[in-house]
Parts: sequence; C-alpha cells; structure tokens
Amino acid sequence: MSTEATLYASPRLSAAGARQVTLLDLLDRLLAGGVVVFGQIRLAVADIDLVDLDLALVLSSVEKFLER
Amino acid sequence: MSALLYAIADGPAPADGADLRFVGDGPVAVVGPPDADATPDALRAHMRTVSELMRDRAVLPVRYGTQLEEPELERLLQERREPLAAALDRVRGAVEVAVHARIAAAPTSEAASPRSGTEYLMRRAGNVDPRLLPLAAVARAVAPAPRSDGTRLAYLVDRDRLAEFVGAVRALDHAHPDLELVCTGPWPPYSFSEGWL
Repeated sequence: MSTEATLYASPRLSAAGARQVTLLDLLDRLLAGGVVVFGQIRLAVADIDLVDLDLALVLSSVEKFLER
Repeated sequence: MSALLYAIADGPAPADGADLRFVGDGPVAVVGPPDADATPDALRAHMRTVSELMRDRAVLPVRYGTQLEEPELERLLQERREPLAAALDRVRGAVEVAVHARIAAAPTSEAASPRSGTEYLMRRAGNVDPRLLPLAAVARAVAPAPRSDGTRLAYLVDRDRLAEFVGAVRALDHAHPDLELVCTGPWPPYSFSEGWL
C-alpha cells in the first residue's frame, strides 16, 4: 500500500508527473518538515552514504521535472 | 538503546500499539525501533505509521531519522509540556494538504491588498500567485512547503473540509488553464509542527 496520495492533479499534467510531485511531497515532509530535536538533525541510519546518495538522486530528478 | 521518534501526540496510548511505545504522561512521544536503512519502503512505512496515529489523535510529526535515549526524551517532554500541548491544540482536527502550482505564464494583474490575516500570511509565504488566494479561505492556516519557492504551499485544513478544499483546487485549475495544480495529502501536519524540541 502506498502512503502518499494525489488528491487532485491537473489533467494538463502527465500521470507520471503527478506521481513525482506526490513523492517529492512525501520526502519533503519526512526530511525537511516536522519537529526538530536539538542535536538530532542527522539521518540516524546504518548506511548513511548510500541513503544520502539515493535521496539526492530522487530529489534532483523530481526537481528537474518540476523545472521543465 | 535509543529509539526512533515518530511524533509527539495526544495521550493516552491506544490499546493496540503494535510495535510502537508511548513515552510520557502529558503529550506523549511515540517511539519505535530504529530503521536499519532509509529505503523508500521504510520512508513510506514511517509516513503510514504517523498517518495512522493521526486518525484518532492530534500529532506533531517529528523529522525523520530522529533518535533519542528514553531518559532524554522524558526530560524534553517534561520541559516542553506546555508549548507541545499548545502546538497539538493548533493542529487538532486538521490535516495538511500540499498544493503545487506550475505556472505556464505570469499572472496578468497585480493582486489587490490582502483582505485577511490568512491572505497576508500567504503573501509572506513567498511569491505566491494571487489566483491561489481563494484556497486560503477554506484552510485554517497556510505555510510555505518545505524548500518552497512560493509555488508549493502547505495548507492546514479541517478534516471535515477536505473535500471542499479539493473541490476548490479543482475549480481553480479549471478556471485558469495556465495554472497546473497538483494537490496531495492528507499528510500529518509536518509543515505546521516546526520548531525545536
């Protein structure tokens, strides 16, 4: 089951475009929103380098789409 | 061992908390075991967990990846009890909806002066297209979405006005062929929970 939901997408956008926007919203909320606990803003996961790389790739591809 | 912090939420703990634990006795912290890795599936599961918490209680979602030792968490909850309770009051009964506006052409006219506090806040959110202003009337609050340049906004919408809000987005999109609107959610109020704990 997917969490993120597109409530409305302009018929002038492609379905793939709307999905990318929705994914960007999910990542932005998790990684750039929410309560921040002092001193706890690094991603506390095991494989930090890979995570950074993957998220950077996802975000840059979505942003390229948005800039078109 | 430190725990992964999902959200600050209304207590008490639900009868069936699955793998989650609820720490504290005022506003509670919802914690679970740390993710081994931040895979896309783990991120979606995290969002799903916070969304499910939001079904029957107010939540202040916490930025993903935050881990704390439990005694430290209990101390923070105690110290920040009142501001956390006030922040929960502000989002209770509402959800976050994101609106993206891709604008094919610049608007042709300058907007009139803001007519309400909400409109004023929206102007402050950035270079917001004035044609989006009607959406603010259906929302409790407006904030720039994370990393926004003014074309992405977050709205705090009463849960029972969600359909009305989406209808307003659809109507605007139909009325303005050069706006391409996308509306996503309902999200936990990530853009209305900012601040330091």
